[in-house]
Amino acid sequence: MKGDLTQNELALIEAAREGGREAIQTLLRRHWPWLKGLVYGILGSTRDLDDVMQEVCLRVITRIRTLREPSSFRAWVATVARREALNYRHRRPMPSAWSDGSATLSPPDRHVYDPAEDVEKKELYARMAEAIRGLPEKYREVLVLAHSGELTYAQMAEVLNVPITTMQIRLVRARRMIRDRIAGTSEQRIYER
Amino acid sequence: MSTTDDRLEILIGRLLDGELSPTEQHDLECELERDGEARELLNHLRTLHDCSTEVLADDVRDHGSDPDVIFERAWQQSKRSFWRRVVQADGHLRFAAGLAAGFLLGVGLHFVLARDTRPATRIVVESPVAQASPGRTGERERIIPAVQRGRTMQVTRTVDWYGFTDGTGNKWLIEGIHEGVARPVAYQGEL
Repeated sequence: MKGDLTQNELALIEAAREGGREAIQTLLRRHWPWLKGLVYGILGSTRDLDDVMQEVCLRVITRIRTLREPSSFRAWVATVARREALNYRHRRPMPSAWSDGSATLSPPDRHVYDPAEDVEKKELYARMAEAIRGLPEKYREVLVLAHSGELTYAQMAEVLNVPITTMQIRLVRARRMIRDRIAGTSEQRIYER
Repeated sequence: MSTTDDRLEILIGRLLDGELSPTEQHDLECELERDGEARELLNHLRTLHDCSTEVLADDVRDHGSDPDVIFERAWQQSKRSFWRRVVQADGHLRFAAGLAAGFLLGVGLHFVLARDTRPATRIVVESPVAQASPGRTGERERIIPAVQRGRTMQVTRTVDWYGFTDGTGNKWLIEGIHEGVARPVAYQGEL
């Protein structure tokens, strides 16, 4: 929602537009988790996340003066992040294994090396990671934003620049694709046995 | 999947994301009480939701450098000189800069060369009065000094001129201006 920024945040944005370093840094730090999620959703991997986030910071620093309406900061910074991620992906295409989801992925580190973890759970995490990375970009974007825990549905719709109903449908489809992929893998495993 | 399934999945999704309104919560509870498959779906989606959250937390939130470190690098980068940025820019920007520089160079050369090829205007100052000579009658002369009038003034004009001798033996110098009007500009009996 456009008008949901606090007075404090609006004042910060005004200061940032004047070129205040502290203000820009504070703003970016506050919005960092979901911005990172958005960039990850487009890149599909964490390989170049830092590089793209640095590009986003640079663009915000040099372009914040062009922001006309402080209340639309979130949508503006989301556009900046999306554009930088897309440009980066265009310049350095990801290995095909990332885009088609066929890579053999290991589960997250803390689950792999934790001896107390159940084997089935580890397998589920691995399949989940693979399924998320294999999602089409627009579904991966919305799923990552939803799980960032930072934004409401209205804010997510604003960031993605789509109506809230479209955003919800994408989220349902993303979850359905993951469920189907994981269920498919399970069924395949049973069949192989 | 039917519309009912879609609606049920949307409601469960809103529940898991903490977006469910009281009315929707009531609707969902009714549905869960009535339909065992709906309860099963809720349990399944909840497991996947928790798993997704953990996977993404591990993959996104726990990866990458500290925001302040990345910001510092970007800030230093923004302070670099313009030319350094141009040199380090990507292909498109370098191409655009080269194109602009080439265009400016071309425009500059155009004007410099155009000035050099324009015919030089000679200002003849040696004599204030044109003189006719027998061999030059009817010859086109591009530059002649102006006739001396009340005030001494050096003016150059592009005119045609010629001389002739009338019936009584007087010699005339005739100036023909480009509009086709001929008028005498000087007469001196001793020419």
